[in-house]
Amino acid sequence: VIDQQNVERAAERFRLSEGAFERLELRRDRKRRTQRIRAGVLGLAIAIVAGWLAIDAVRSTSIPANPPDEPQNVEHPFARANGEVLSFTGVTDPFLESVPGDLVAVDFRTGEERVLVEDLTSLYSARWSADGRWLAYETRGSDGGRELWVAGGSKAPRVVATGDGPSSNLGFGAELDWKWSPTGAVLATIEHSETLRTIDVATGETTELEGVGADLLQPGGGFPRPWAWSSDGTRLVFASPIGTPNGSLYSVDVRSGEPSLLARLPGFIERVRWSPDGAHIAVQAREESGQLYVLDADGSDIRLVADDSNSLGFAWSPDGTRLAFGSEVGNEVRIRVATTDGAAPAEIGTVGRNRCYRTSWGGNFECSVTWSPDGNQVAFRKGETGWVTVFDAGGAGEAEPLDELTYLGWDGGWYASPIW
Amino acid sequence: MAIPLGRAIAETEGREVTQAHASFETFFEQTHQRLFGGLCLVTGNRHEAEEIMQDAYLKLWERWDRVGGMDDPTGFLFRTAMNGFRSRYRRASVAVRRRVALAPSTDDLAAVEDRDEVVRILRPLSPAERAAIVLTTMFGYSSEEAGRLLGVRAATVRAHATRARAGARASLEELT
Repeated sequence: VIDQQNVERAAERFRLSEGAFERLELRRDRKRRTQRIRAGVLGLAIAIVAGWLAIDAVRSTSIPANPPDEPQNVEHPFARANGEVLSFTGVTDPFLESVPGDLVAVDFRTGEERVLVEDLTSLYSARWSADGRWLAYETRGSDGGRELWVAGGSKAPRVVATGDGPSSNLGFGAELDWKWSPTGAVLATIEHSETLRTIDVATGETTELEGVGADLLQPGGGFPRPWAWSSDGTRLVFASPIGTPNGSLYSVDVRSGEPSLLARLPGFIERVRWSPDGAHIAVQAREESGQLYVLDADGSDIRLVADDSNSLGFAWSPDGTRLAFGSEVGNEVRIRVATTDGAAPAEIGTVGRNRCYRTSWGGNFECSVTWSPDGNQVAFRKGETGWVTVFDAGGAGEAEPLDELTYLGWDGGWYASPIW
Repeated sequence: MAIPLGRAIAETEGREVTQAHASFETFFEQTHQRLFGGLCLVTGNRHEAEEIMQDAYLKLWERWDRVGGMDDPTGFLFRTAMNGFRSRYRRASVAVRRRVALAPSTDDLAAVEDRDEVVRILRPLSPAERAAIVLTTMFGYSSEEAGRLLGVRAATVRAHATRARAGARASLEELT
């Protein structure tokens, strides 16, 4: 039954009514009409969207949105990532023509760079704020003077302080000087060697400390000013300008601006550093040879830590209980660690003295000391060569080489050679 | 030697559009009745069969300049129609339309059942089973070709045909 002939016959029983082709033509016409309508609707929709986008684009370009005051992005472009070191890809010469470059952040573990500020004609120094969210950097202005820029959050970099060029051929003693506070993001600036200000860069609040006399703000014969923040960010310590015999040490309250005498020391004061725990101040001074003092934060209980050497840098341990310093003795540099109780410092290692230079007034070029973040190691760096030697802070084990980027990461993150 | 219809029509390429229209109309007149009958057997519904048929012819018409030149445009027509049938059943669009009564839901097989034994045998089968029978017996496709057209395995097509023939035998036994 189910064969072709029978199935064909069965199919023939179904006859289409007359006008099948005309119905097909009608259906084709309907289909074409529907297609045309759909195409028209689609074209209209595309035209509307395109027009809306064009209007939006014109409006966006003619009425720029106001940048928000506070950063909207979690990732702040200028914020410091853990362990990053700032560096300049160009060359800055205080007197000759500089080579433009970028201010970059380098991860000391991977060596990866990210550009923070592009195409700077010069860069003298750069530092992150203590909270790591703000970046201050010093450049040469178009008039040859110095400009201090601050960048952070979503705001474009801006100049917060200016000063004249350096007064010594070594590039020291610039009319502009600045330091970040150890807490938050407050800058202390000295402009034109006569005006001391604090600037809260997050709020823009600026306070001029008028009580500090110009004699404390002078660069002192073209040498770096001996001044520092207290560890809690409430005070600044100033010393008489370098070269002043029997130097005095002053403490300045950053709210009132009133200075108070802390101590008088024989010789002139080269450098001061407040301990991280806020309890002590270390002072590097020079009479006939170099001395290193530690005194209580209120100026009392002055102890002589070392008086037999020219200091080649000193640094407080992260907890503020120990002071490491390198001193030039004969043809070697001795690395020693002192406690704050007046006990004799312990020598933890030595390195060759070559490549560490001192001036007649006692300044130290190129060589410096820092601590590992855990306080277990002390590193000594010869900046000109990039050689770094690391020692166990307790004097155990052998000295070992350390890569320079790690040293810079430990030391706060500026690639330029520390000068003192 | 007879020239295939499609090729003969294709040879009119380059002439007036009305000539192409005329050639397609000729092709339609020569083929539509057989396709319609087959689709009626498959779907069991005249309206649905005509819709599927019209869809297939419109597809060919839109490409007639190319399809008309084929060696076997009729085979292409059948394949297009069966694809349309398969798509409809896959989407179950016909079922939906029946529910909302957009298409008449008459059983046209029932109307001719008394007059034709084949129709009576095919009626209880599913559309897919009927399609397998029509493709293999009426349109002369192999089980493999029919399977490809219906989107099933050749074995399934053979199983459908076997079931239909078993139904036919049972029907004959009832009559005798």
